[in-house]
Amino acid sequence: MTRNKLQLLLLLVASLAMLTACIDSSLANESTTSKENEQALDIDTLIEQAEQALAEAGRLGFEWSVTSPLLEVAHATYKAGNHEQATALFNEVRLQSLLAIEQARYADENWQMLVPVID
Amino acid sequence: MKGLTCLSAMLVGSLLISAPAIADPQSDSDDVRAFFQKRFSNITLEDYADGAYALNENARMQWEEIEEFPPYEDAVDEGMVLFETPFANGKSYASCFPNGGIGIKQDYPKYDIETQQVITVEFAINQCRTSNGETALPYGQGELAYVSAYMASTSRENLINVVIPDDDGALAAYEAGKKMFYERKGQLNLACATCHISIAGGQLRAEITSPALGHTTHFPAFRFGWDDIGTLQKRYAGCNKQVRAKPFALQSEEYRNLEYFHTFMANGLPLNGPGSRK
Ligand code: HEC
Repeated sequence: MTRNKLQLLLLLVASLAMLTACIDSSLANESTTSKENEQALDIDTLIEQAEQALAEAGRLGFEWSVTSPLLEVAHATYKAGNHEQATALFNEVRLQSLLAIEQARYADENWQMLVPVID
Repeated sequence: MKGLTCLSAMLVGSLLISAPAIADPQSDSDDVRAFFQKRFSNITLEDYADGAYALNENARMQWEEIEEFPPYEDAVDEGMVLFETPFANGKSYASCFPNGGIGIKQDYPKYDIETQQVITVEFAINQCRTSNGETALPYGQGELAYVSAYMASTSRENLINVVIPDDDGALAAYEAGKKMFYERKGQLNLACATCHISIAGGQLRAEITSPALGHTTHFPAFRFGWDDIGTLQKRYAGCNKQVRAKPFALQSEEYRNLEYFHTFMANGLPLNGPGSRK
């Protein structure tokens, strides 16, 4: 393997490890807050957070196609009076959106990794 | 603490990636070609105009059979009629394009320095309509795609010649398109480059993923999946959806920049649109 390729491979492995670690740690924080949410946060605040995160993912151009349909389901579930299920759904919308935002940040710094390297 | 580790790791990471400070589209394109030449050493540059069919003999034979009775022929005929029918004000599409719109597709997308934006053929078709008091047409398929298909048919065999003028805005548009091509997106976390460079030629479910080089030669294209002729950007949206990323609006600034980068890469390849694809 040439030096260039080796360097790229190392970089790739390091970055992947980094991304996983960073996403993991932010998700770890998320899941504690989400537990808190289920108990303490009132659903209106959760909805606001979910919608804000989704809007931010959209503004960055990284919104997932599955998230906004999920938001619709969440609202319908809430309207139908199933608050527990609705809370879980709004929380999922929020988490997907946070991941998309993280993906945008990651892409911003690492997009060049997929550019073909010629040696 | 963890945040700090991440931050410093990223700092080191960004130092390691020695990004060229100045964009150089020509060397980008040379690199992509060299990459493919190495991977598919048995096909010529021109072959890339045939997409995945350049890579698989069986698929190619089926496709050649289809092309004997081209499924896009009606669309081209209809496009010609639409193209030649005057607008309510008496003018026509021909009045909006160089050379009356005939044999010019190889020069698109163009960068318009005055308005600082990328102009694709489809975008120009709607600009032409609205500046002549007609309503804009939907961008993905239908009448606009037929007009575009007719214009493409008059440009067959012309060599793609996308120009990036010496202008900061033009380079920025190209760079934005390039970045978008290499960014991982969607719930599946894949980039255009993953499927159309890194694993190009590989089998993805029932399909062979085509090389990005030469992608733009044959659009608008008839797809059996669409049962109609559709534009290149309709395909972009379809590929975004495949990875569960929310697609951009057709002819949005994002997609026009992407098309600029994507087509520049194919400079020198012959146009062969409209084409048919599975
Ligand atoms: C998950 C893999 C995947 C990703 C990611 C992907 N595509 Fe595709 N794409 C495909 C497959 C599969 C096809 C159909 C087979 C073929 O021609 O490659 C296709 C077809 C195409 C075609 C038509 C090729 C032809 O010859 O007609 C274009 C153009 C295209 N993709 C562009 C893009 C762009 C631009 C992106 C990024 C926005 C992208 N694709 C992302 C898998 C992908």
